[in-house]
Amino acid sequence: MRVPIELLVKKYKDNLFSAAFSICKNAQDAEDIVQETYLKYLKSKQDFESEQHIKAWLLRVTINQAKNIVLSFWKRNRITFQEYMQELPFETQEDSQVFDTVMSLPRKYRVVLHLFYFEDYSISEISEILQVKENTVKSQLARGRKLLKEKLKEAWNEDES
Amino acid sequence: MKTNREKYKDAFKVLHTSKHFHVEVESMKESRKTAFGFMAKRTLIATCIVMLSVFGVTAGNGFFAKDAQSFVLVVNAADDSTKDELHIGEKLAINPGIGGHSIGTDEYDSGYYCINIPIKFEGEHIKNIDYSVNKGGFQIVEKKGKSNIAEGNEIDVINAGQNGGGPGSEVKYYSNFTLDYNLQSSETIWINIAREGIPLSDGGDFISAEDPTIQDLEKHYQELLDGVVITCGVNFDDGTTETVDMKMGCAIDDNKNHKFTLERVN
Repeated sequence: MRVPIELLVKKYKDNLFSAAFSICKNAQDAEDIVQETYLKYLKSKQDFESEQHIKAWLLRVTINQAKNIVLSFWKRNRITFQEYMQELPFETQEDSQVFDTVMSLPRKYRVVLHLFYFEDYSISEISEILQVKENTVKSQLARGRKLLKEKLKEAWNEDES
Repeated sequence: MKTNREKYKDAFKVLHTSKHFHVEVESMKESRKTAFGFMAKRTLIATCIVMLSVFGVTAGNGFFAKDAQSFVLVVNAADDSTKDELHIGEKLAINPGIGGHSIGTDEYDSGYYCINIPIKFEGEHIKNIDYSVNKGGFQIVEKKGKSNIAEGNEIDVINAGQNGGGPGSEVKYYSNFTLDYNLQSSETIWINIAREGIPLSDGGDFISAEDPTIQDLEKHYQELLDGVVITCGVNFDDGTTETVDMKMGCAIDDNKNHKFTLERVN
């Protein structure tokens, strides 16, 4: 199946943007990545099994591109992460603290944490999206959660499943 | 009390694309049409060049001579926007811009890469092409149930990300394989080289470095690629073979952007 690009943009642009931003930490780059992802979808002649598969594919392409762009565009003129953070309309101090702490973690943990907590994917689904072993996802998730607990203390619960 | 998942979602729900985003997406369709028109012209011109070069060589040997065989090695950009011939002693950039490759460090802080190799052999009397690589292996992405690989040695999964394909595709890993001449198409098969567990002297700290020097970058990519050579045997209908060795490299420009390169050694 194929879904019209307009619908995919409307439904998933913010999901893709958050996934990209959580990796590359830059709004301009994240938006470029989302654009490129949709362009790749338009160019792709692939037949998808369901809309959920399309979403997973879009996330995978976004994440792969974001990993690359982290290595590719250091010198672009840009708003720094701290400047951008100050513009974000967090509702509470705790939201801002959680966001900042997650973003301070090593990238490999951020990717897995984002897919798990924000996108509600299971470990096996994350393993499929990232094309890595389930054990790798498990260990990165466990390490990321441990770091969050250490840094956020009372602001982060002992982890539920 | 909020769960961790709720806390995470509340923290990240502030992230949105800019209000101008939809305009750019709309314009993509137009640029796509233009790009495809442009590609068609480029393909036609490139085909003419290939035909002329093949004709030129064969004509020099006598056009109807039985042993008249030659090929041109063509390097496409991953997005098919460019197409260039790669001659002996020359080096060309592949996978410009974003996409076409994934690189990074794993949970053990060793490096990995998965890089699309958008090459194609064009010529007459070519039966098939043997592919091999001296380090790591090949990640082959094809449509599920429609393999174009005639024969090859399958190996275990290399955890290095994936280039091309999606849920409807099938990914296999080979140390070497043979591809039929007529099945060389980025629409049916993606050929990536992949490797994991590469020791890095900086333990992966490079990835999170805020402002590495050009020397840091060169050192990192050198360690990552570590003398990778792709060898292709071009098999002709008469049973003869010509071998091409291509050395993988990386070029860092003044703005610290990197481009992977292929250098044709022979």
